Amino acid sequence: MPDSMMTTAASLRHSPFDPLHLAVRTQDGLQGAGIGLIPRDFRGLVTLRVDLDREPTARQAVTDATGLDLPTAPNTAASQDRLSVLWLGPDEWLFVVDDPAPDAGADLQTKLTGLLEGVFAQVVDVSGAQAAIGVTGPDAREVLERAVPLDMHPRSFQPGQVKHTLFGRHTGVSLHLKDDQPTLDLYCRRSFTGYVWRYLEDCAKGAETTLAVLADR
Amino acid sequence: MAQTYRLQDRGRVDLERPIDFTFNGKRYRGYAGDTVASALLANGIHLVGRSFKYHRPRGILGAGAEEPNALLQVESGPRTLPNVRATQAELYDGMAVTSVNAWPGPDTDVGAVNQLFAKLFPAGFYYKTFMWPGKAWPYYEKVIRHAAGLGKAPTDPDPDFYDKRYAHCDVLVAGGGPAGLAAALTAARSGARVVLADENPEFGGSLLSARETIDGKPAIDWVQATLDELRGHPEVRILPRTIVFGYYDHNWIDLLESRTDHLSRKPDDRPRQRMWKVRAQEVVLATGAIERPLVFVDNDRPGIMLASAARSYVNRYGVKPGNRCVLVTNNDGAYQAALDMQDAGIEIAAAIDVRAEATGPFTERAKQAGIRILPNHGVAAVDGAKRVRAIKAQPLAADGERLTGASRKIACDFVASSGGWNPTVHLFSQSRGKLRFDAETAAFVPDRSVQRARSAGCCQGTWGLMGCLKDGLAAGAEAAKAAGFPDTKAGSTPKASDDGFLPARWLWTVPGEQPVGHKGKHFVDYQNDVTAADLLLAIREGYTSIEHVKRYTTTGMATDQGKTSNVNALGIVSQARGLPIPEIGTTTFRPPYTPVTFGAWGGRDVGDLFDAERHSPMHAWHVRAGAAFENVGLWKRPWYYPIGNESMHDAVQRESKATRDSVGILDATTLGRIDVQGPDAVEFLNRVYTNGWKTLKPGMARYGLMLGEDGMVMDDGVTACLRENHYLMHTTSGGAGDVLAHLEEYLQTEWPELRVYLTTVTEQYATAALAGPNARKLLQEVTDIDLSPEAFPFMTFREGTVAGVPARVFRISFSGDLSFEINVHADHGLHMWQTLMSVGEKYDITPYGTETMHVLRAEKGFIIVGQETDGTVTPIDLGMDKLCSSKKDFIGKRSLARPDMLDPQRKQFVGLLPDDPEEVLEEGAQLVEVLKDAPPMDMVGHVSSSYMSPNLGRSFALALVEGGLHKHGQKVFAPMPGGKTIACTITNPVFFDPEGERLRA
Repeated sequence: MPDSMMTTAASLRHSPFDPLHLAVRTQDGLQGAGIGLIPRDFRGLVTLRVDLDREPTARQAVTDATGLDLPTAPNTAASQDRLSVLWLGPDEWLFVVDDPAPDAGADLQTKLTGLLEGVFAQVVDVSGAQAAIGVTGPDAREVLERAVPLDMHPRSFQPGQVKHTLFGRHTGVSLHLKDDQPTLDLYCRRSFTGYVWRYLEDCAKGAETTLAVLADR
Repeated sequence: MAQTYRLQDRGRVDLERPIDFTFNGKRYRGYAGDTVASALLANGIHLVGRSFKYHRPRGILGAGAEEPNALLQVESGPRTLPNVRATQAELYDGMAVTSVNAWPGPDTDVGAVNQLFAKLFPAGFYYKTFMWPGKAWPYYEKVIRHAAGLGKAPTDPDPDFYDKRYAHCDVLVAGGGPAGLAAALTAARSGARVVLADENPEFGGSLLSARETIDGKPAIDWVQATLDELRGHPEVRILPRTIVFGYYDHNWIDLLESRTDHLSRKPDDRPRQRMWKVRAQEVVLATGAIERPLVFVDNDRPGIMLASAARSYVNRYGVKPGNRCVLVTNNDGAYQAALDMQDAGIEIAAAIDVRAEATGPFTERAKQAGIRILPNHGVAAVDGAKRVRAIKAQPLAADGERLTGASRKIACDFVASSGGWNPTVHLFSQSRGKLRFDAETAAFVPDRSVQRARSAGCCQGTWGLMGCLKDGLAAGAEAAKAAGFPDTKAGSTPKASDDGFLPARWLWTVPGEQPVGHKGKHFVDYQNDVTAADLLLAIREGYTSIEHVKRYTTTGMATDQGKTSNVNALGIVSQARGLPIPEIGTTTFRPPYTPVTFGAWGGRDVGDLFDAERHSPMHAWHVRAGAAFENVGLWKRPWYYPIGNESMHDAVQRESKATRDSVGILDATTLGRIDVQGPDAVEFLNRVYTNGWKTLKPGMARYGLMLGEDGMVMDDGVTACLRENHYLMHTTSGGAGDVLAHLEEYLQTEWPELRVYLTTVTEQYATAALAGPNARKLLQEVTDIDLSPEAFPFMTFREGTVAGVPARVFRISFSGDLSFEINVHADHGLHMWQTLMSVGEKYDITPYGTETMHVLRAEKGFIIVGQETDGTVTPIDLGMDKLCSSKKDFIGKRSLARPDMLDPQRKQFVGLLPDDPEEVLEEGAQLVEVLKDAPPMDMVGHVSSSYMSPNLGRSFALALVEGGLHKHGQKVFAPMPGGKTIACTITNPVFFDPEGERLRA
């Protein structure tokens, strides 16, 4: 082995985007680019599975723990401050803590698990299992319509909605539309980060637009 | 380079922008706005290629998608495109086009010798001639393909890129002629999201080729005004150069947009073509109509073209197809073309009209214009092989089935032929819409849509311009309304003429001097070289169904899809069988409407994006370490880590030995992991695994075997009890997704009463397996967990920190050696790995890949699901029946009790030792007990895994052998291709440390 590989890591943590060696733009904004991709390096992610009909106390417990009411309308999300909760299915949600602290996910998991004591539910920290990519810019919809078969038009996809679909040919993603800029967060399985990122770059090329890599926040 | 046939006073080409191009290496000039076909005609060129089967000289027949003859090779080298219709290809500067199926060229084609043997190539000649001997077909096929094929596919990688996208709309309008534009207009006014696509660079469709007026002004003014309004609607997408080619279920529609095909310099940053996958709420088909040629003798001679095409060349492109024209028609409408040609200065030598009486509004105008009409005449013969020189007209007998009386020869340099019109129902038919035969126009028209679609204009049999506009306005409004948008006032229909093309006479075969099939050919399908005689032969041979006739003769097949031939073929069959056309039926039109490049189909899913690669958090390290990678599902896993020029064999030997001698490290991140929680979790595990789980306490782990309902091994792995009612299940790397789906299905459909939740956590963790006698020493240096055998026994796990980060360490072993599997948060994976590598230096830590993992586990007789098993192997076959609990039920248990499952002669899992310790068996090699001189021999099993082991100092293998569990010590043979035979002894499959002392150390 070459010696260089034996040296200790510069940091204890590596985001899913580290291996992509992205040239993140330092100045603010799109600067004329049609689409901006934002590597959201670290996030706290926690899944919750519970049947609200079977466990009537769960909803209040979640509100107590997070301040958020679980969205029950399919394909919707609720957000407050730096916490969002995404509807994934009739008995499944994903909490997103917009906080890069290493324990952001684990802390929320502990809190939820504690408040759901005695309730048939599953709370799992999946912070490491998924990657989040912010997508923004005037051509964001045009670019995404090359990667996912969803209708991205504002008439059928409104801020506050979250949709789950096939990306490219190989993997599933969740898309959370946050505002009508539009700004979206795309969630994919961690191991597919490179595929998804390169695919989006190629989609931007196909859409004949320019892409910028923007810093998170 | 003079364009002798260019008209200066008409046409839409830009005379200010000359364009130079080459055809078969010779330079010519055209103008911007030309197609290759119009530019060739401007230069007096009709002969462009040779036909598919007979190598007959062929010219330009049409002016659009219907062209069956003028298929050209565009450019050469990696960008070349074969079989491009010259009538659709826009001309650009420096364009190089060549003829196909003609060598050395269309003028002197060696393959033309086929014409002399035409009698040998009747309908179905493939089936008749090349049937014997069957073995020789691959050879025949090669020769036929070379002789018959059309253009040549590129052989080099494609330098261009292609875009592919999805789109959704409320109303898709296919076709930008008068009906399509009108439909888009009313749909757009409602606020609906509209996609309007047309294959041409310019919108207007038939109006581009016409000289008609709308509201008293040139029709093109209306086109412009309509486009201007459409562009003002923000929800309208206007797609020129975009052909709608496929119509599938649920209004799922494919479009192909050309982005750079028409450009001289192709910009690097623009895709060559774009495939649109559109989901439309409602569809308006405004695809127009295609004129059909008349079937007369030698009607394929260069210079013979559709009357509508001739009109198009004159009016749209400002090109005279010739100076002296003979019109051959069966209908009134064709005289409109003659009048336009005459107006452009073309002499109309005569009009051969097969109708008993030449009547109708255009006919009358033609008479007034002094055009000589020969009513009730047929075509006796055509003079001129490479270019029509004259046509011989002769009166028809009363029944129209033969000629009679005196013939007269009319000199001409081109012929305009019209046999009526076919509504372009291809897309409608693709959508499975039902067609209806309209006897008056002798054409199939849309009857009932089965999807949310409607047709407008000529494609539904509305023939006048005003009618088309009216149709379009109504269809657009109706479609928008059906998509949920408010009613829009269509307003008054613009004023335009409203002429059809009737009256007509349906004479499906125009008789010649000789009966059909003798001297000369009556072509029906030009592209596939099918004649009227071929159709008649097929019927004589008993092919009565039109579907059989189609396949036997190949009429209407391939890229042409019967655009000009379909109804003519039906008419001939109908006449021969004495049945009306509706009873003959019609064949199915298939997508694509016109050919689509493979580049467009592939889109961006090529090269690096063809297959997604899944990477572990340590992947970059493996790459830097020079690992060779293996595909496991979509994962890229390190296969082995060669040092310098080391071969795979040497690397694997080194890694295997180093691990057993000291310590090795494997990236085991890809293992599937499922978090299992709930009060009924243990009951759930009991049902999905063959073995029992009730005694598993928190902190402990157990190997489990999972079967399908058929009793066959489906997956295996270790499951740990994290705490009460909370388990972490491991699956195989490749099986993770299937296992989760399998378990969820049972929970949701079979056992909804079980209170269990599953969540995949495969990617939450990064995992390194440390294996070898020094694993404990190394790990102890970087962890706060007590690793002593007493505190941390085999098949348990502990939580603590490793390399300063939180970790869960399992003491489990797939290598058969002392082993710890360290799981950390995926973000910490690389750090953990690098720390272990760094600290492990003093133990000569060796990273090993999947191949060494396979060797090590095989030495221990550990199976790999998918390698030792193939979906037909039970736990009993594997000698793992002890893992099948008799105290409980589990998925697959009942199947295991079937008599066949208990058959002692089933293939069973064994070890194999080749007699020669240097000989490594091939995986997949068949095994026999009784050796014969040559196959066939009775096979008793096969080799499933085989390696050279540095630890055993010899080769060994795993195998499945009939009754093998009771054959230890017996000989089997592996006869190999080439005559070599490898003798082996059946053994117990555990070769290394059979007592498991190292494992538990």
